[in-house]
Amino acid sequence: MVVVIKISFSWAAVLAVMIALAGCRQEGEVSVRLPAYDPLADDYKLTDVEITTLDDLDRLDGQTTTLVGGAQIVLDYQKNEIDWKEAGAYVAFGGIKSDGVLIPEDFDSLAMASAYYGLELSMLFFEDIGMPRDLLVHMETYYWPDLKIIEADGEEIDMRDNAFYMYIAQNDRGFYIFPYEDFQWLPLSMNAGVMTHEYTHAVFDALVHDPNRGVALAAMTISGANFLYGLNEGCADSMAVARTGDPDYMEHSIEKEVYVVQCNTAIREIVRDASEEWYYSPAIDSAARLQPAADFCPYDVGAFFASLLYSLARDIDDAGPGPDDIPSVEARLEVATTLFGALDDLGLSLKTDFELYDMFSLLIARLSTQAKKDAFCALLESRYAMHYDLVEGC
Amino acid sequence: MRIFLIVSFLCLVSAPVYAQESTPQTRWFSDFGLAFRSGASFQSIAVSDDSYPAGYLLGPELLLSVFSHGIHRAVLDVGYLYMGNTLEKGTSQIGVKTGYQRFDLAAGYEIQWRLLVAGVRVGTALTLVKVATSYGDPSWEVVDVDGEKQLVFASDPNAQVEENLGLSPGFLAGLGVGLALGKYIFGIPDLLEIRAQSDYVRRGARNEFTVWGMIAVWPTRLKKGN
Repeated sequence: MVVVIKISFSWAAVLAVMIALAGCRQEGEVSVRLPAYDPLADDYKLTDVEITTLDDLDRLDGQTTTLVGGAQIVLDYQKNEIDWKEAGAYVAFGGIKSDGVLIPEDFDSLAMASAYYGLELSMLFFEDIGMPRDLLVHMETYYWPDLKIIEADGEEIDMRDNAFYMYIAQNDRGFYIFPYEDFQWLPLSMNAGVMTHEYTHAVFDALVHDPNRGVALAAMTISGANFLYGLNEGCADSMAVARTGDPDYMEHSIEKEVYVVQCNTAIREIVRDASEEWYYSPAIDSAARLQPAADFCPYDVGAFFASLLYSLARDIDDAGPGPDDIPSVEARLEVATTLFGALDDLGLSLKTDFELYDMFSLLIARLSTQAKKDAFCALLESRYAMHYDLVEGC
Repeated sequence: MRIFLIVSFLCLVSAPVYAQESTPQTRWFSDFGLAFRSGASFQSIAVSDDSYPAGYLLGPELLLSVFSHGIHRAVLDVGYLYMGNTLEKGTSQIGVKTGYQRFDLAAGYEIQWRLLVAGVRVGTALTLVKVATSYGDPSWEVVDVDGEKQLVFASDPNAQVEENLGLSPGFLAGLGVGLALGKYIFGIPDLLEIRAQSDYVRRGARNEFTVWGMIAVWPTRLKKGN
């Protein structure tokens, strides 16, 4: 009898411990095995990384973002409205510990934790280059939402193979990561460059589009809105490249020479490569000035801008380039810091007829030495000859 | 694993207390039974409509009736479930394959009145998770299909696979209802039971529902009618 009672208490203790373990939340810094970019190999590898801003690991909820799954949304351009059929719910991360490292137990846990990690790295990067943490409100990241788009002509599209930042109203402001279908390479949620690209859109929004800082987007001229749209994409690419050191960061997710898109009058690759030299052309210029904003493709302006800043990082790189001629971390950080400051300036001085050379003038004013200003002016003279004489400071 | 061995040992040495059916009395560790269960499991992780499919489960269970008084009894059970819903998901370049096996430790309360057996239980589910993460460069080629370029992947992804094994503890709560058929089929009271059971398991933020049918045999009750 005595033995039986003793064992019963042991069982109760075991059960209590197990139940407590099941219910406990893990906060703070956790080590997780995720695909992470290896600059030396120019590839993603499963790597033990530290996630530092989580408040609730099980729900992937933290200071950076909160993952939400199961949302169902209809974006109706006929009615000009967004209809949330389902708001979604907290996701559930599953993982097992192996030598102190959490191994995601299924594909979605791997993808969701990667998305959180990519956004966290982006947030910390922006804080390093001067962003106050309260610049952005806390936003959700909608993982694999069911988004149906009803075009103006009635065509219905189920969104796939995409990730974006959206801000129509305060309650839908956030990051959206859609299921893969054609893109069979690294999922966009695991691509750290893609996550920084989207995070930069949110920062751009807060610095430049915020109507409390300058002019409302609706008040802008066609060319002003188009150039600003192109600049937005260019900044997003520039920051992604500056943070990762990966000039063609999209190529890990989207195969080159397979996927193309029509951009204004040209057919071009979806994958952009900041290390390619882009020259501002009459075609880019006229598309931005004449194309209605709803039809304007911003990626040519963006690719030109990102290519320019990548070259600037190379030209001002005192440390010398690293493997594959990638600019050093210091040079990339300097360019990113300058760009962040110039965007802050732009938000306070934005004109309705914004032109790219306005932004270049702000960048030159922000560069820290005359040698760096001269280097940038030389680049602009070569690649932006059409409007070079309108750039202030050169 | 050591816990299971201890329980098994205790079961083997614990002698049944022969009680007269007409005089209900309190008994400790009076019975142990063996069960086989088979059913289905459903995971809910709030990701999208493309959720994970339901999987089958099957496995043995060891039942201990540790306290009995009249129709009331306190039970402990230890179960193992093979979870047949091996998950496999990913792109051609990166994917995860996951297999689950579950060990249950639960304590509960049951009543057995005439044909009816019903009870609740609460405890923990230790899920053994095996994860195989693959990452590599799949071989592929571009083909023209009706004028559109499409990628065709080779069957061999040429991927590096990293395998890991670990335990994930969970909170378990369950309900069960069934029939005590021993007396009516074999003329031996309480020998055989057939039950329908369901469990809810919470692991972290994950929800898992399982339903199964169970056939239980209580060999220690063979002598009750003597």
